[in-house]
Amino acid sequence: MADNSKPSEAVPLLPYLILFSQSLLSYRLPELDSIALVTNVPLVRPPDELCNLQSACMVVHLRGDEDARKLGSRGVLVKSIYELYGLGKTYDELHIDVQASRSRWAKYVPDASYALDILAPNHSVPRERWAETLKGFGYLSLSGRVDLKNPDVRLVTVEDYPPKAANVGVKAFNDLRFRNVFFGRKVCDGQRDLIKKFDVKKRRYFGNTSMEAEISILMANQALAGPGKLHYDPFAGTGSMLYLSAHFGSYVFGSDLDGRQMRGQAGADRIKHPKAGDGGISAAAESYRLQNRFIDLLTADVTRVGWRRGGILDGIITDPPYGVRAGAKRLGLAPGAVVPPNLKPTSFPPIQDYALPSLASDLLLTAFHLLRPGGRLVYFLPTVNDEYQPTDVPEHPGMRLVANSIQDFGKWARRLITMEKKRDMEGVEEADEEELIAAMRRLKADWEEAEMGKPEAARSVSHQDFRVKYFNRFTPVAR
Amino acid sequence: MKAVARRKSKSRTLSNLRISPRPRNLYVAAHPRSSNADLFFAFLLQSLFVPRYLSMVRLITHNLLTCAVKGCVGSGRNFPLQFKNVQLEIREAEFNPAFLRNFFNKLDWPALISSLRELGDTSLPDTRPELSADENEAQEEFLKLLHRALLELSVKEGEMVCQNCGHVYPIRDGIPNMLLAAHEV
Repeated sequence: MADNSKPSEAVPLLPYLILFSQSLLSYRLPELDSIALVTNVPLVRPPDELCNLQSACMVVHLRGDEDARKLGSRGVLVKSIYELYGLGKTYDELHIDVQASRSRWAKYVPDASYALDILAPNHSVPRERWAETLKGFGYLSLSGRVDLKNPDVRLVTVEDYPPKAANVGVKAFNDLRFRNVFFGRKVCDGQRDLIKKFDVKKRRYFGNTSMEAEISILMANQALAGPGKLHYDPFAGTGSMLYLSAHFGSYVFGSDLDGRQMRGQAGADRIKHPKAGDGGISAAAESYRLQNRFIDLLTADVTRVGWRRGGILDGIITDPPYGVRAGAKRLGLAPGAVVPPNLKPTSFPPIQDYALPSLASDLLLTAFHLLRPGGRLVYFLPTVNDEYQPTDVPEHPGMRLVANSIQDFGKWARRLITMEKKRDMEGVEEADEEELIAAMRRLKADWEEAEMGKPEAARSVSHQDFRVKYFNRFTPVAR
Repeated sequence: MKAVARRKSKSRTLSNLRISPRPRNLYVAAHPRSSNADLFFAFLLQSLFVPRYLSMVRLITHNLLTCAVKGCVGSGRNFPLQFKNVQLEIREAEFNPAFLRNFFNKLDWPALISSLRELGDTSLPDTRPELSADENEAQEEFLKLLHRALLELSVKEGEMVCQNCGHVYPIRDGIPNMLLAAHEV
């Protein structure tokens, strides 16, 4: 648990340009903040209101290349990072700015081998303009030789265009109508390659509920995965989030109501994807060489596990079942059922439906108990776009909301919620186990009342009866 | 890398417990300076070892689990769960001293020791030692023993039984089943 509250040493900060991927825009700033936190990099970035997510470029201030590389080693939405030598609204402005920062690039002039590139996200620069643009940098007077493959310095000019208008036909029309142009030296790439490495279709074991790689990486970053930390996925399923947390260094734990899915056993056809291999989570962990960080897998109902104490986890990272592709279930008798008197111990445990609002609140309660102060809960909440309001996200007085990022599917969306247990909650997690279970039962009873359609019940959240809404294609029901 | 067929382990449980020493799985991480020859040789070696299910329950998990059956909570006797008919294995885990130091105060030491004794292991002392902040050789040695006990000793098959209500939590292929029956919920 690194302490970020060191008094800031007066180190002069340098400007760096981060080039981001242009999808999953609402995940960009939360990921950037999380990776800065987990790598202990003091990052100065523009405030949220001034960040234009439509632009792939962001200027930040860092202490130096080492910090930039640390960010690059974690960020999956980061394409590349450059030390910024100049920027401007036109090339003329840019050249003035770059010449003004000569002291920072002068050391490469005498003998560094170099390559000079032009990048233009959202646009392609016409060939005819390349030579002319690059000639404009003549004042750099680089004396080393040109090496396009493996240069000592890769100098890049980035033209930042607004998103392509729908009816733009001719490339040349838009050319040079950029918002800004930047020039800098490439320091590192981001982690886009991880997406290929953890591609679900290439995984040794996966199912139809496996979380896609890019999102799993984002979740692991939001949960601040790292060496020496302990992370838990209470709805592990095929283990997607576990692999990524382990990849970044955490020890991982998983549990699931269905042990067969974790073991990769034959069973219901929908558990294992027909193209996947055998061996369950273990085999996939071994194929990624991460098995040494997998502590244990348990077949368990997350709300009915007797944890001896709380405050043990650094992160809970999960994608709970919404009841659509995976039934949301928990232990318990169906309403009105009675336990038959001569039940043998090896009978199948009773399973009841688990309504999503209950699941979300239970998850929050469990997280509050099990996390250490500063620990993070990262989970997906499905929402119906027409009905969603920010207050739908469950709250807890001991946890604060860090991020709420949306992945929009049209009529519905899923939101990645990041919550952090407040740091002044030391000692509270040792609350009596009985009290905690009683509190959870009370909360559950409240929700059950609401579901029975009592008129006094609070306005229902958009993820209420999510499964029903999903199969009704989200057409509003006349009441 | 093609999957090699997994050899199912033969269980030869004696009346109560059996420690079966198995060869450690060799997973060679590529070192930045390893040559192509090294990697090839490591790859060859590795294909001789058969991948198998991750063998767990590790003692760190066992140290955190109590019986959640209705009535057991608050009885004072639902922890630790007692091991029975155990098939033990040593399974490599990544060594992280910082993690161990952090976790040390959250451990229930008496429970850890009683489980170790149940499994026939005497590597750790009865009384909880002091973990000082300095990093000397003795500390390092102790942490290595703690690491082995907490993270590398694992129960592949067997049972965990509640001392209070007698509920049996079976362990199959290293995965314990913590689900409860209808009347226990």
